Amino acid sequence: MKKLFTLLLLVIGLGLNAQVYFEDSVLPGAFINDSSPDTGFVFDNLFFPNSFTDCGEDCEFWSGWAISATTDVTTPGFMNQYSSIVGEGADGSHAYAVSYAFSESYVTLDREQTSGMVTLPSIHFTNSTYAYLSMRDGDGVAKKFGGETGNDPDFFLLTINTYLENVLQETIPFYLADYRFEDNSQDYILDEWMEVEFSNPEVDSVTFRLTSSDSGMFGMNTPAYFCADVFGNPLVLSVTNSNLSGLSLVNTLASSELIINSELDKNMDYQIFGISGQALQNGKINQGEQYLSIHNLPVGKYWIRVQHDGLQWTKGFVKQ
Amino acid sequence: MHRALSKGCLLFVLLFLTGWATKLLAQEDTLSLPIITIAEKPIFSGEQIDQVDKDVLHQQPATHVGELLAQSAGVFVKSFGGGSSATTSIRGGSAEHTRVLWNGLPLENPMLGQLDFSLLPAIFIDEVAVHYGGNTAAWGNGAIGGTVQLDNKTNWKKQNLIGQYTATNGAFGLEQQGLKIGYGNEKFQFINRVFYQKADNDFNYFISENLPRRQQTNAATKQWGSLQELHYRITPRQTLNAYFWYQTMDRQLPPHAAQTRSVAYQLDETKRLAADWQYAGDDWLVKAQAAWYEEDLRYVDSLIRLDDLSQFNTLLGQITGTKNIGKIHRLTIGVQETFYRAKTDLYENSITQNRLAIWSNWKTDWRRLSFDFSLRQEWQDGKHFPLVPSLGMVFRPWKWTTLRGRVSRNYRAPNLNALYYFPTGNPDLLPESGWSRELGLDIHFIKSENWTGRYSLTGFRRDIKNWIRWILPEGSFTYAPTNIAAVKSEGLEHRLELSGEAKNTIIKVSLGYNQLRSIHKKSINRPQIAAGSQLIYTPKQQFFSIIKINYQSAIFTFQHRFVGEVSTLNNNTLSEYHISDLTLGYSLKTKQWQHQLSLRVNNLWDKDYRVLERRGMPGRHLSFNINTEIR
Repeated sequence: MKKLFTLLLLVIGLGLNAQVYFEDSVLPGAFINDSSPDTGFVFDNLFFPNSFTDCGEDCEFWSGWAISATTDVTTPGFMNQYSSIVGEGADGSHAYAVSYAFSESYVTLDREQTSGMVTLPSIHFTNSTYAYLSMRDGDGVAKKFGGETGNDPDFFLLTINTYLENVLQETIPFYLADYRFEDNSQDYILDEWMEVEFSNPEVDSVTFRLTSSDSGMFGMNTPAYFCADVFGNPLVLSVTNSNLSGLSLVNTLASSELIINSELDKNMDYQIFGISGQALQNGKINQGEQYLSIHNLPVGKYWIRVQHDGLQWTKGFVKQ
Repeated sequence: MHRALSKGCLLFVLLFLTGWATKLLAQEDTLSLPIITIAEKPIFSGEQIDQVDKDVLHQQPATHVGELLAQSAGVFVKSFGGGSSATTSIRGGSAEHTRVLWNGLPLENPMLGQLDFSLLPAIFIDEVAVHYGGNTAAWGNGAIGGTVQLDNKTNWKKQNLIGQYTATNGAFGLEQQGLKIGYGNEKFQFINRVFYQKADNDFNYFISENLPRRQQTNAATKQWGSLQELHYRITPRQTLNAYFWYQTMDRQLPPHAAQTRSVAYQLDETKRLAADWQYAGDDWLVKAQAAWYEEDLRYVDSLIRLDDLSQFNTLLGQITGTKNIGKIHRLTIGVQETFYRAKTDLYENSITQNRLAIWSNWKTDWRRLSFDFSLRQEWQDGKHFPLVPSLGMVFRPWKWTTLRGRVSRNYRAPNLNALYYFPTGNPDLLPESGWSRELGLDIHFIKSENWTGRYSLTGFRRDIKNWIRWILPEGSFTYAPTNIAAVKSEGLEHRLELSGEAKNTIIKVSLGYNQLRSIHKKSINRPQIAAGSQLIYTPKQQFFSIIKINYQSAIFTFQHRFVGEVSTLNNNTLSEYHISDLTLGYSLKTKQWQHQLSLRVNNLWDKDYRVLERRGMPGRHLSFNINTEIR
């Protein structure tokens, strides 16, 4: 794990990408916790706090955020605390962030930076495997949602507060599980990535608090975990929702030119977006192999989107 | 200071004993048939005591001591039936406030500071008594709520073969067989008790009116054990006893009612070796005891990839000397050294701990008045615990009335988990401590040749400070033990006993009713505890009764208990419940043998009830027992 973190620092240090994404920081099947000596992880202009104590074999205490690419969606319990119930990140990639938020967790956005993300329009969320299976089946401490009869009005609520200069901008209740419906067939435990959009993306911090109907003297029985991904880029979800076929991206790692192959006999518009969702470049795409110059873009992660007749095709790429 | 003091104490004890030993050597030749006037077991004035009925103990060899206490004493036992763990609460104390002594030796698990009573098979024990109230000075660390005494008895009059075979079959796959076999004469007794027990515990339990009952799964238990006893009367004054207790239990851990499934199981292995030597003079007695325990607890849950082993060893030595001074006084002095070693993944390293305790007791019986005063000082790894006194008095103004009272200061040392759990264990934790007061009245309202009747009422109050709680400190995300709580407990205990004998009939009726208020004196943020709130799993009311009728060879035993509403860990309440059990038996005696057949109906009225949250209990179920023994 520490080796992986060293790898992350190396990637950052080499300056391959000033805007490091989760999927670039952790190998498939692995996770990163323990940011020491730093107090958290920095991705682009976002800061993810982390507190970690290693207490021996299979023993650790942590809070805040870990970065994960583990894929186990079947093993219940604490030993599988880093997996999302989807088994992958929100954009179909392998990495995402996991938060242990027994009290509260947060992220901050450094808006003073002159490059990179300066707004936060949305975040994607889902359940961790640990919390999901605990709510579905119960465990030694927690109840299965619905209780013994299936009728208990249980819920697992993520309350999101956005702030700008310490002023509350918005409070969004987001139910990771909701069993409060009269009709039990409507009860659900979230098992896919869902985007939560902020009405005002001009924020500099976001706090996350978990509450559960299954609580006792010692607080919440439901494991206090949630997973988050795609901080600030509304396009990523559309990667998985691409419905315009006949287009392919030849080089996902590009230095000066992006190569697109179009089998469509159409003249279509394209846009290139940065991480914060800003459109940075646009133009036209024709049939055949196209060479799009990207030498004006700084190194980093980008998405290209092509739209035609209400259909769209989106792909991510990295400018080296 | 600790070393110097402990050496001084040992020297004192040695001198104390050596002086007597010299006197003994001088006397021995002149004593042909000594009259032993000193009781082996200390009796302290003013304690309220419930003795588990011997017939009840005898009729249920397949059960454990926790179940017996729940049925026939004013002890609240936290257990969900079958082979589940069983812990006690006496007078509103926690499980750690129950001192458990086996032939005078403490049995608690030092890592948890408590004992799982489900690991005490009834067949291993001859007598069970509950001494209510705090008396740390006399019984030792943790005797705050009460003390449970488990004793093996030796019958020196028993000649030749000792034999008993018992077999029980019951609902939910219960099968138990026990054998007690031995040889004895006036000099030597060798007894071996061995038992094997298995049960599926696949009972079903109530969920709600419109849903089918849920069957318990993954609840099977399998255990066997052996207790070897060697008793040797070296001389009429001198005895040597040795015990070896081996027991293993493999129990599946069933899912709770709001859990889909469980594959977890727990393996317990217990080895206990104990020996004592005792010499009784005309007016004095000395007893030396030594014990070694090794216990392993392995918890495995493959579903969550957990396999945890915790182990501990206890090495214990204890010497007590008692002397009558004149006709009315008696002095007892004791010293105990205990060494613990514990190992678990939850500790950073293997842990060792030393405890040294010295105590003394002065007892005076003068006409209608008896009183005793005890004092105990204990050190743990060089740190001293509070000096605890205990004063008890008994006054008998009339033959039919006894007034009794006791005032004591008591403590409980933090368990090893609280001290060394990594990383939040706190080696600087203080012992829980406080004062207990109780006052009682016994009235023997019938005292005739064939009938006796006794009513007793005891009122008590206890204040404990530095009560250890695992709390979430401000700004932390990990629970840590702290001396944060203070608890006040007060209550009344009523007991009524009637027993009599008419033509071919023996009747015994025992009733007990406890009223208890055990509240937190201050609020705690997390866990959320409000000042003035009753402790969880602490019923405000408890009632138990036994009606026993032996008519010629027929046996009828009816037990009923009531447990009041309790609050739970998840801020819910569990309803009060009434439970009855009925035993019908037939006893056949020959010159050499005594046979007994009995049928027991548990939960006679088929009540749905819960002792623990999310844990269903079985409805009406039967067990059948055969018991044969040499008379």
